Amino acid sequence: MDERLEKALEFANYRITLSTQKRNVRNRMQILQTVHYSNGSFLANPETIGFVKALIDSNKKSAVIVDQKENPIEVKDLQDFLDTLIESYTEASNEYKVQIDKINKSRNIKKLMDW
Amino acid sequence: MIEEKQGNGVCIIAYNNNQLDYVQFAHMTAAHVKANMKNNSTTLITDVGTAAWIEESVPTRIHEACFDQIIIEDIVHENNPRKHLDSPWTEFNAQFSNKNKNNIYKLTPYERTLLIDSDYFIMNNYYDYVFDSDYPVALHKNAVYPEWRPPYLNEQTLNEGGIHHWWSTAVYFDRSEESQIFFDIWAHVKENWDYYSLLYQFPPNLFRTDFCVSIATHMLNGFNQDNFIHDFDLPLLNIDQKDDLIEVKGLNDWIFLSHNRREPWKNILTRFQDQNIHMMNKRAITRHNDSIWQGLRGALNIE
Repeated sequence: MDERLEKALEFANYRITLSTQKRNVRNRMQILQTVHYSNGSFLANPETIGFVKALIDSNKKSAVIVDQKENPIEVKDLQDFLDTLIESYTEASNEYKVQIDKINKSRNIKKLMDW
Repeated sequence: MIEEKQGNGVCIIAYNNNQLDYVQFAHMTAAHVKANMKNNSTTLITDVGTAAWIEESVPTRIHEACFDQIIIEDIVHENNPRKHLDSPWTEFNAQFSNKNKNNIYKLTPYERTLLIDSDYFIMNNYYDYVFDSDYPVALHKNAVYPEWRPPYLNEQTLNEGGIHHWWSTAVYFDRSEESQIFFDIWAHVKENWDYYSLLYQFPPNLFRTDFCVSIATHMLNGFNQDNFIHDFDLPLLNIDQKDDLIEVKGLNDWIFLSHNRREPWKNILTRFQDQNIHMMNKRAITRHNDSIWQGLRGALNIE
């Protein structure tokens, strides 16, 4: 095979593997971001965190929040819920950063696989 | 059978056949539960023949580190042959003994049970949340394959215009009346398999518990897409029989060769860390037996 073509194919395979790995890491982040609270299922993302903070800033101690499955969930302690969301978000985003930095530094398939 | 159901735990069913050593898989799976979950009491459910093989093939210290209890049934398995693949290039037939899976409701020693298949490797603590919930029954509604490929069409719906396919790979249940009804429907579908295959228009040749739970879920959800049965939120990650396990880098860090269905000459490396993995290619597990145990021995302090 022509050397240039071989290199092009090798690079294409690297890009496919790279994009799959990024998606794997995003999925791992989603696992860490999923918060189950009072029988509801929430995603600890900026939107949820901001909304709960807005409720607290409006002097609400408790509230009914619609979860990811469209179920109305009674959250009795908004501050505790906010702390849980922030903890999950922080853990997820920190791990995400570490993993993505590692992937971005890997310039070939062998490095992506730690070989 | 233990009459008094107590606490939380994970059950694994394993019946060996002449091709696949499910006992070996079940011990690895249980060890992963022990290493990664908080609710990690484990029970093995097996038959007399397989139990005898455990005594012969599994060192006592490993068996005791993996399982807290073993429940042995004296049963005869009905014939249910299944074609297996080991990568795209090798295929073999083996008995698929899954017809008494619904008996788990009676057999479990726990009040709240997570039943997992013996080829489902738990690599994080995600499922712990369900033991603190009020959900009577929980399953996975969706699945993905490596490279985030969608499931096959018959794994999305039972037929082209049919009901949604749910997965029996991980089933959580409590002792509620609703759970009892769920397992009663499962048993009823099993007993009337030909009728339900006509009604829901799926091929009757291979008995699949996924179809039983899909029908039970459809009925309990009021014959529509309601959410009475809890979906575990995240999709089940299936490693296809045509995919291969290439390297076990650590306890929860595995590298696979992902087979492309549309372009079968393409195989792409993909690495999963801390994500639960349903290993459909069973012989690939056997090939990496030593390296899988290397990580597990360290995690469980087994000599």
